[in-house]
Amino acid sequence: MRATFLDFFTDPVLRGPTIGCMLMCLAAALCGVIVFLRRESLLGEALSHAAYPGVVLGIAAASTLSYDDSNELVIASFILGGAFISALIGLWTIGCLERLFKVKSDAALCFVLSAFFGVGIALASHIQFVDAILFRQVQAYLFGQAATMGDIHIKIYGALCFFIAVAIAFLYKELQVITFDSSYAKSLGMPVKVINTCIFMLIVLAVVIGIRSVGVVLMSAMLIAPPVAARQFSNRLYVIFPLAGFFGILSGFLGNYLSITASYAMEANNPGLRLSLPTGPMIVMVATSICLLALFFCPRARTYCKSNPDCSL
Amino acid sequence: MNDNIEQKENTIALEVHQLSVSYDKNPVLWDISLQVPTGKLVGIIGPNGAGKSTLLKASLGLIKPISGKIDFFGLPLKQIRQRVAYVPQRETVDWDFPITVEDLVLMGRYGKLGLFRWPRQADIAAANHYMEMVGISQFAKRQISQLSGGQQQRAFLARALLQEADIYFMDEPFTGIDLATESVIVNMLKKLIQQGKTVFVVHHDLNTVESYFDWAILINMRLVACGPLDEVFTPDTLNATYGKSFALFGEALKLSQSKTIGLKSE
Repeated sequence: MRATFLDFFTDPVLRGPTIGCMLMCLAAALCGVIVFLRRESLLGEALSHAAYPGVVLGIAAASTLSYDDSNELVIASFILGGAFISALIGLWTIGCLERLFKVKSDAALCFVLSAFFGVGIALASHIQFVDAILFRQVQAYLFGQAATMGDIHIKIYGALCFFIAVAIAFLYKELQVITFDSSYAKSLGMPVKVINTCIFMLIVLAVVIGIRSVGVVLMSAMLIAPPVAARQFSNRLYVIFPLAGFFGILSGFLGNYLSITASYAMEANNPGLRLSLPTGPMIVMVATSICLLALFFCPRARTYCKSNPDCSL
Repeated sequence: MNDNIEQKENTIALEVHQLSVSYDKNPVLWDISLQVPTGKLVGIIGPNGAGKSTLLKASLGLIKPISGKIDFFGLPLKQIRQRVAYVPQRETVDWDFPITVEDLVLMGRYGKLGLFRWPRQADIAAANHYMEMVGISQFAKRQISQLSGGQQQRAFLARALLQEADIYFMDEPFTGIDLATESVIVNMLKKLIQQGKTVFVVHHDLNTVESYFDWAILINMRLVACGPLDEVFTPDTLNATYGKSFALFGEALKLSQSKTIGLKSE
């Protein structure tokens, strides 16, 4: 069987992962621009790892309340809710470490990243012996499992993604000033704290959406790679946002496309061997490839090198 | 009686009352009380770490003081936020940020616009007007990293001018810029003073104090002096501000210059 381009958007099995991943990548890329420009790139990594214990507890809670696999909406919202709360606790812990205990930001991020992830793994390995089916679900969030996404995910992610895009569009002016110079923004009388809280909520939301398809471990690549690529092509923030979003969508689609077509091709060439390329890692690889290509061939680096004789590139 | 109160409100641009600020447990400013009338070009002068920038940031509400009260025209900052403009130190921002000079200058209007409202044609026209005034209009569409240090400082000034405030706070606007920019800025500030605005400038270079300012605040953790320049800018107060080091200051400068003469050419 060969899947055509259109099949990825119409086929009932393929459209869930494809459109779901594209939406998730769009959300991550848009929030990633903010994270990247604030020079807090490690934040995405810390938050996605901090979400993991929430995922495990969410799944466990859903199953103890005896919702089975057929009740996907409930399970999905349990997982999203758990991840969201757990990531928020992680964010709050980072803030406490920095403000109350004067821990340096990078150390606080690493601490939260590993501590929360450790708790998550410990919980998951306990579940391993209690409920094997549950454990498989929990494992899926480690590296992502796009293939099992369905129409319900398109709806949930579509709504969340729309919310993120609208919020960024409405707060664009404030985002620009606060990211550039937050004390100047404060001197203008902007509600910097409130807007910062909104920004962090959006980032947490994007991370929580993303871990279903690319997983906890690879999530930060989806936040950072599209904005880094987009930054190479433009010096305008209002271009970088849509461009990063486009690169995100592109990696979401190509990741799925390559994962499926390459798996078919490999199986056709080596019958008997069971080969398959997982979708999540493929998305991340596409995104990082776009980023690398942009870094090497972008117009910005070239003009920079021309105008700057000290540049070693 | 009413007239009296109004007059008082109008003539005192900044009143600081028993202000103390500390970072963690180290006091930076201690019991500062001062009054500055409107229409003055005020130099805030003191050695490194004396709390000059801190005084500025506390006045702007960027740092929370441990005690004290700050009023502008007899009103707390909250009520007249839009009449106060701020020019931060040039080094404190990331000049690689993806915005154009025009975008940067337009930020000056964002406070007045408020949430969810976009700059209109009139705001852009005003931004262009002020960019022209400080001589950077030809760079309007450039990315901000493509400006020289002096041009960046002018862009910051244009942004503050666009706020069309009554009080301006500038944090070391003359560090690391060319002479042409320095004179553009000084002329601009003198124009503002003629319009009855009040400008506070954190300043380092003691040599230029007398030609630039007409009012001075000398601080070194505590307030040493605050008043008209010819009254407070004296060897006595400078000694008190800079301590013993000031007496040796000129000599040390000469020595260091003569010591580096040979080294620099290598």
